[in-house]
Amino acid sequence: MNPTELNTLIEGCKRNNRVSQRELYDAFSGLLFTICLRYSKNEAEDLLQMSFIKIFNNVKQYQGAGSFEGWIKRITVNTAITHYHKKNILSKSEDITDYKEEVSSDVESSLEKMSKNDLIEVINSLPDIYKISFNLYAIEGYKHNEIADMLGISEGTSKSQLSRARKMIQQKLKQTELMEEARTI
Amino acid sequence: MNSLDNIFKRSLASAETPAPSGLWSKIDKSLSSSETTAHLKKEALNQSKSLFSSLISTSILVVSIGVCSLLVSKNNIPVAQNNLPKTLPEKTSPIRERISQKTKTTKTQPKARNSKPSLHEIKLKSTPVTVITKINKNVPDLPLVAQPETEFNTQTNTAIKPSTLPDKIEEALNQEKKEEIHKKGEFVTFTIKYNNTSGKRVKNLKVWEEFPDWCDARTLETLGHNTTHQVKTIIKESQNTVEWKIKGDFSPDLLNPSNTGFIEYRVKINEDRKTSDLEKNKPGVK
Repeated sequence: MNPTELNTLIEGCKRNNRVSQRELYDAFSGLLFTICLRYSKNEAEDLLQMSFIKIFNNVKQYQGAGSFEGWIKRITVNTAITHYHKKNILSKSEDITDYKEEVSSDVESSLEKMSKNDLIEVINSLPDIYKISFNLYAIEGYKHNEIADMLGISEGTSKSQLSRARKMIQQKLKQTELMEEARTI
Repeated sequence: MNSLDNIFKRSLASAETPAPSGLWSKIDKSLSSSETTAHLKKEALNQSKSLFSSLISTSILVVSIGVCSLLVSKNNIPVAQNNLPKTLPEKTSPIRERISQKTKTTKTQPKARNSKPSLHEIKLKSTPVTVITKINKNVPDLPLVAQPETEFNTQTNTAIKPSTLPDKIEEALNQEKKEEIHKKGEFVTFTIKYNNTSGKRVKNLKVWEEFPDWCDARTLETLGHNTTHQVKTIIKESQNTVEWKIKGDFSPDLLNPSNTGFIEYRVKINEDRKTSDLEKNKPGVK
């Protein structure tokens, strides 16, 4: 979609034009659904629905200052985080010292072979607090101080959660490899 | 960022997954229903406002006529003299003085309890909590108002809506019982509406509410809000309060001038929460 078409759609959405809203949904639902899947596979559909309702209800606030795609992505991520805040699970974290971890070449190669859906599965297998930190840092590109601010935790906690998430991912991949090896034997 | 992060980012940052079929129809339905609800709320508000205005006008008229008639009959003054000359000195005009007093009393009625329903009150039919909305201290010059009837204190930077409810649960429950709305143990839903009347953009916003003892903050559930930003709910058990921190990290227009927002939540009516519970939860007492 070129910028002119997108602007026409946004203007239509600002006037609550249902046809424009539908077209915008068709254009971005795939992208936003992947984000929702990364944060909560079981509740991804609800998150996507909530995100689009917020987008349509607040599209008048979008003044064209930045990328529209970035704006709706942020809304979706914020919706997911607010959802976790409601469940009150973000406060259940501990602040531990960060430690460095190395990623083995085996893990890297098995990750490279994995499909998008498999990677989403790996992320979803993490406990909620680690999953959110990993998503925000590794994929969304937030810094630790920003994540700490968003989640209401300390920077140290954010770092340690990321470390633990990475370590868990590696452990899971190793386990999967071992299981596959056992099957082939 | 390490190599593991890079692999995930490369594969998933721009990945697309088809959304479930039928989701659009749900969104469409929600949008239609929210549009209808907004329209109905607006209509209800307009109706209440016009009803209230006509009630006030009628009561002023009735009181004025009643007082005039009474005074005319008492003082044996012909009706034609009701149209008092404006040049008449106050002290020599007991009729004018008395009418004036009566009219003043009538005009103060809107400030009395439950006389003028705010948006909050219309939705709830009754208002069983004290609503206090504060603005973030970092934005000292912002006159943010929580309710249509809220008084704004420029010295403390707070907007305080006078309590319209009894402090004791018995009174509240009796009040509820009469109206047959809520009972002990039930959840009550509330909406806090805020409006930026400052003419300046707001970047960070803190809305907070405190409850009487019979509303237990620990049972609070945030049901919804209209902001696209992060909303963090902080329940302070020891103070029986809740804070919603709304933070804008990507857009300067978190709340533009004249824009409004709302937070909807529910709490349980609970008479079992005692002051001793609150004491236990105070910091440092544990």
